Amino acid sequence: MNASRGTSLHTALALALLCAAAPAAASGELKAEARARMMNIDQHLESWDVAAARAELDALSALAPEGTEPIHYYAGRVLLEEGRYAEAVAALEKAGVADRPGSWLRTAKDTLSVTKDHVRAESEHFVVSHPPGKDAALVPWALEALERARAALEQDLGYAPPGKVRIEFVSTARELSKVSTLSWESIKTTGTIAICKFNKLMVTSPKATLNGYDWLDTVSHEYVHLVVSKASQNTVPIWLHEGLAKYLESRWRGAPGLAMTPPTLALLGRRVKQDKLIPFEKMHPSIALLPSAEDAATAFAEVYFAIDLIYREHGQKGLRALLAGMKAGMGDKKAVEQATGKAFPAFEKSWLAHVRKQPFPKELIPLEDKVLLKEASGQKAVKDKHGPEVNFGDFANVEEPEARRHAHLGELLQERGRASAAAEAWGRAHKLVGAKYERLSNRYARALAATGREDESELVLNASLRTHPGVAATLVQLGRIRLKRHDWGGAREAYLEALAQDPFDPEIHFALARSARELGDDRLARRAFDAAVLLTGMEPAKVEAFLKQPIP
Amino acid sequence: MNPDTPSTSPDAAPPPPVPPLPDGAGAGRPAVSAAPGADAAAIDRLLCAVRGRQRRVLQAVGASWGLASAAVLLLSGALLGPAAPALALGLLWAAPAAALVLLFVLPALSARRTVGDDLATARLLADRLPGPGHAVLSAVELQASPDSHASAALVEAFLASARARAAGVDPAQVVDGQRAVRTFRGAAGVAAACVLCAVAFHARVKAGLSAALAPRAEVAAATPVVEPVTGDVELSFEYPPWTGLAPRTVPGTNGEVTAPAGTRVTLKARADRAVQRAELSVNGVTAPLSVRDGRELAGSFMVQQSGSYRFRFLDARGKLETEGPPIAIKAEADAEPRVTILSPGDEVEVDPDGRLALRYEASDDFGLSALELVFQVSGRKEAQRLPLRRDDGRTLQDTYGWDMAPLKLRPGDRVSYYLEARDNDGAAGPKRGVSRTLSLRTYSAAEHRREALKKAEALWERLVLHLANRMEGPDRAASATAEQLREQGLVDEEGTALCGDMLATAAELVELPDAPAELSAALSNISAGLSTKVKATATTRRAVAGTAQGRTAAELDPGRRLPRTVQEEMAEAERDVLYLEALIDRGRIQDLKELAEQLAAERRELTSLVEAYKRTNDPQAREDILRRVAEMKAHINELMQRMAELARGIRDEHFNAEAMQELMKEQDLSETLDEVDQLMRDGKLDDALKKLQELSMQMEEMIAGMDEADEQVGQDVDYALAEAFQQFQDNLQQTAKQQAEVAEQTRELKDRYREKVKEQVKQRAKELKAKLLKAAEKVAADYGALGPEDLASRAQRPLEAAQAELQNLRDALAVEDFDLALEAGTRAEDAARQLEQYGEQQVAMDEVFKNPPEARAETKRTAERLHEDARAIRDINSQLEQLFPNPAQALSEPDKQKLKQLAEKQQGLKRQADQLRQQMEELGEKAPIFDPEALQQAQGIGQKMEQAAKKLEQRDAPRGHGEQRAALDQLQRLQQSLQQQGQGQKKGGLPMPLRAGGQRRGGNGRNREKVEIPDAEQFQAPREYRKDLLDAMKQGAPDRYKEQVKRYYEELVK
Repeated sequence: MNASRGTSLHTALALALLCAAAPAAASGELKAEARARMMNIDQHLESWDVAAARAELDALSALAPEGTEPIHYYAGRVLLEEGRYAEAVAALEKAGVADRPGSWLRTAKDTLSVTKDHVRAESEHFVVSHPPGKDAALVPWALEALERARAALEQDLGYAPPGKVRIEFVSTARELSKVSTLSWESIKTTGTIAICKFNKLMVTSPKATLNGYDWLDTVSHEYVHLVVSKASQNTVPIWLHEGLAKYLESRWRGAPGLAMTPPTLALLGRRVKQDKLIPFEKMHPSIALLPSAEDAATAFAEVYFAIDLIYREHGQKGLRALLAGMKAGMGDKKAVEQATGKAFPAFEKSWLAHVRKQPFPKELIPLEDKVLLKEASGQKAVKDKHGPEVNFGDFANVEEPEARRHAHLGELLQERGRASAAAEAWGRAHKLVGAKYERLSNRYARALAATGREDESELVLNASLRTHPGVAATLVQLGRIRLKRHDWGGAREAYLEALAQDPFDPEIHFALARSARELGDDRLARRAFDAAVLLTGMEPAKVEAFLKQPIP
Repeated sequence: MNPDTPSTSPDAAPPPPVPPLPDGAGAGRPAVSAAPGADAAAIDRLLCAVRGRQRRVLQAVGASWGLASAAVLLLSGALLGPAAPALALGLLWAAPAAALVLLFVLPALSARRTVGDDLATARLLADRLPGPGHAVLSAVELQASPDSHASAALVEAFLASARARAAGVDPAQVVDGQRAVRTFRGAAGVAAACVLCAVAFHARVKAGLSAALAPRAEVAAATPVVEPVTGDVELSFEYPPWTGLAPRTVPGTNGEVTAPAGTRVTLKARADRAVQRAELSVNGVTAPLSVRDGRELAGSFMVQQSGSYRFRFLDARGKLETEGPPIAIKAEADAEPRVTILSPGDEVEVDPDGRLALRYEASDDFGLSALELVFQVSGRKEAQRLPLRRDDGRTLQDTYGWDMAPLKLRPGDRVSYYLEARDNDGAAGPKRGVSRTLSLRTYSAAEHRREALKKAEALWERLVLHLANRMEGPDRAASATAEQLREQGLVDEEGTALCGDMLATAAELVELPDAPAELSAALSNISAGLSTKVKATATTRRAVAGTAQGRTAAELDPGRRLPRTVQEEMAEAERDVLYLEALIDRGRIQDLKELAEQLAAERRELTSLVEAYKRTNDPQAREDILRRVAEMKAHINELMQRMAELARGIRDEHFNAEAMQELMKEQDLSETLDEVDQLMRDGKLDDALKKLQELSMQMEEMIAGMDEADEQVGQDVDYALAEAFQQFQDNLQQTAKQQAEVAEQTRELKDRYREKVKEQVKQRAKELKAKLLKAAEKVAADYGALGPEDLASRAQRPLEAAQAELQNLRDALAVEDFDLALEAGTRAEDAARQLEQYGEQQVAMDEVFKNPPEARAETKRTAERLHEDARAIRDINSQLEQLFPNPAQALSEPDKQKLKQLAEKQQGLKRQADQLRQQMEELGEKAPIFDPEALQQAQGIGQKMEQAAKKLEQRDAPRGHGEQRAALDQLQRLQQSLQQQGQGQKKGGLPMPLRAGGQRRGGNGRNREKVEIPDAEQFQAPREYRKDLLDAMKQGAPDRYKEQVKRYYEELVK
């Protein structure tokens, strides 16, 4: 459903109803005021200004007789954005809104049904709601990361949303579909994992994916979308939105611009070499409408470097100016010109030069297939790698035939518990392709470690992390080696990074608890201990006993 | 416990003996016996009480034994009554006697032995209760023999103490009553068991008692008459109609009657005296006899039950004068009918539309009233029945052709069946007899393929482990010691055994209908390639490690020969592992696809059924739908299970359980079917149809996924391999085509030459014809005499070719077409040469594998015969060739020019053939696609082409053409083999392995012959299969596997 068109239609209808319901003696002024207020509510909601919409609604309620359907309609809309789903459902039902797919009522009902048993946890500026159970393990990490992101973004963009921002974790992609109004097919084919919409962040729990995903970066990414939408009153086009979100998503853990991955960089490098970059004008109206997933990924990388250039040349001031310009009603090009002080073609030229000088990896590295959207629309299908097709092993994506042969052979040998032989086979494959394939590196490293060749294993893992940063399996393996060496600091670092991708792996929490205790980091030790208890369902005493066992 | 009572614990020390009385102490003391009083009576009372208790216990024990023995004897007597009335009666009488003896005599006797006088009783007391017992014993001893030296006061004091202690003793403490209780319980148990037994067999007991008691009176009465009173007894039997037996008369019998119940027996006899009246007493019931002429008796009775009858003679008033001895009547019981299925055996496989020959035998003592085949198809609720033919005889052996088509079986369905016969017992009602239950299953190509895949997979698994053993072994380490290297000899042996098993399995798969042909070929090729490498490793190991002690590999093998050889073997094994895995995966995916397609068809049928039910609302249709849903679920589960088996990958990482669950749920089609099932039960037909539509989409997605997987399957081996193989095939086709063109042009020149010299040759050959014919016949006869056991199965083809060409040669000689004869002779020579080579190879193999001397001698004789035959054919050809004048002289100049050009072209083709061989070798290095024979064949093509080119250069068109034809034949054979192996394979897909020597029957469901229903004599392995196995056996096996291998082969050919 097209939200804005649907809204306009509803406004007209509501207005007619309101006027009809008004007392015969109502003056023309009253009608005009009511009309204006309704338009304002629409406008405020469109601009992500829910507080203003609430104020208008209250004013409108004072004008109209109690129980008027339009009032209920707008009340329902505002209540939905405020997260008061039961009241929203009641109001929209009173408004006579049809309960059909895509309607506000259906959305409110679905959201209510998904979140009714949710547990809520709050920090100073955020409210996290999550399904009861193991998702509770996410809460302290998510709130901490968001608070850090908020503080950093306030510095960068000069804006922080008032009140508390809601983050709703949902259990599955199906639930995400329900609360976001995105179709299940669309979510499945695009691999959408999180959305910023309805004045909140909706995030699929990492437990819904086999190995997790970079969920803390994702939460932060969606938060950037929210901040940008609110700060600009939703005037920023999607392409710039994505550029800002991608560039700033790493702010929760440090400087901006840390989130560019080698695979994306490698793709961009190839497109630069082939002279096949996507022009900015082609990114209108949405990057998601580009003809292929690879084009979309290229476009995201391009806008990332556009923001990177602005930030490098003009710092936070540049970013703020960009948002301010668009909030003031400038088009994207104009706003860029204002922020950079250059004509747009000149900006494009310097951007291209900036892109060209990036240290692109020599080879193409397989892309990850996660999609993060501020607002989903028809993103081209990304092949679902966990589909029902028959699985032929873990190395089907290795493009080099010889390396694939060796890798597969290693897999066969390892499956039969022949680690030493497997290490030899994987070693041959690794020699051919280096750290290009995360899974290959990881398996090889594991086999090396299993045969006592830990130094070699560490080298392989570190090389892999340079190409594929943040992969939990690699980090866990690295953490194991460090734990074994009693390198508590190194282990903590590795496991914390792993946790940012796969927070439900109990091993990570056990290892964090152990290393944090050794380091005297009581807060982390306690948090990890609690998570270990929660995730394993073991008695605290047993967890304690387990932690006291020597490292294998 | 009385505190005065000393402990009776066995550990307690016995009380001290009574101290001797001091000297003079006895003076003036009262006599013990003379001082009776209350105290003195206490000891006597105690002793009496103990004796009394002893006797009572003994009586109780005796009574118990009496009770038990009486019960046993009574029961035994009752049970033995019918069989041995006299013995039974004796036992019955013995019962009360035994009871009385045991009740009175046994206790009395025992009492005499165990119940003694005061002293004995006191000893018993002392024994059982040492404290008071010893005191009483001492007192009794004192009373019995007073010590004159003892102090009277002391004695009195002691006696007083003893009496006091005696007063406190309970006789029950001394005499154990438990023994009596235990005995009584045992006896009561025995008696109860007897009573129970009597109740359970009350009829028998009653009859037994009657028999034991009654006969005594009867026998006593009958004792005087022991001689028969009749003679010439003639019996006529009129059998009941259901027996189907004809009436019969038996004269001159002793009168004994044996007949089925219901038979009327008419008897005639002659009395041994003149009688006025006579009668029969049949089991106590009398029947009158007619008396003629005072002596001739006649009458009849109906056989009802076993027993006896006797003749009774009466006087005129009807008073019994005499009677004869009892004559036995035996009423024959009608036994249950017997029915046996003679063939086929259990678990036979049939075509769903075939016919099963069911050989059976049924018999009954009086005939059958019905014979039916009862069967049940697995998954169907009710058993079905088919009436079978029967005749009126008592024994029937027949064959029933059971048509499977009406059963509408699907491949893989199982049917259990048995035969049921009923007899015609008109007396007790028809009885039923059944054969043992057998089962059959319908032929399923998929099952055969699965079986083949399973076998191949087991070998593949061993291959991977062999590779792992090599990789992890010390062979490549410079620091390895000689001992370590020698230990690795075990891996060599395992490798050799594996190659042998692969070869045997390859031969087995050739015989297995519908087994994927490529698996057999691949196993054969892998075996050939790998065994060479393993042998090389083993040989190098022996050379390097030998018997050296304590030296390292670096010292023993400075040239690193062993690591190199092992590395080569590993490379070979790696290729083999990946290639065989790809073939197995391909087979499994095809299997999955078939199953998925079958499911899709079932889904369509189900939809039609639901639609029909919607129209008719027939409850039967609803049941049918629910049954189909259940069947589909079973198939889906099977599919899922197979998919799970196929899914691989190491699972040593953390996976989120919820995601795994969701993933499984997404793939689970059975959940949708569950919903269909529920909707059907709820009567929501439209929703059920919608769900079925959803299922259809899920299935389409699944099948598409499998198609994709099928396309990808070869990628683990090599993308480039498929391309190279395609290139080779194209080159082969091109070369064959060009060779055919060049040969055709040569043939034209040859024909012109032959035409020119035809008459000349005829003149020359007049005398030679008969001689050549004779020689050809001799060779043909020799080949004909070769049995299949003389040659390897691979030699069958050249043998057949040689025989066919020799026939052509003789036919051509007969019509004096010498040109044709030479052509046939040349081809026969080729075949003969191959046979000669096979013979030589076998001799060499015998030597290498040290086969038994008699086998070696036999092989040698065959090889010599083949050598002689080949030489004889060469002689024939040589003589034929000499008939033709020099071709170079007979050809025109333009023809000579043309031949020159053809020779150049032929040289070019030879180079192409060399390239083909080169390509084959290169492909062989990537995967075991070709067997050594195919490579040899390719080499042979090149040689033929070279020969052809030489002959053409010498202007010898006929011989050149002959060589060209031979080269072309081989090229086409190679092409044909490739086409056969690649059937159904997409262009550019995984190359299928080729086995040049292999002959394939059936396979892939395309040209499978109908399944033969095995006859009783057909449970033997096919001859050729056995031959292959025996050939394989001759290859030998490492010593430690020899026995194992032998047993394995023996099992296979059973």
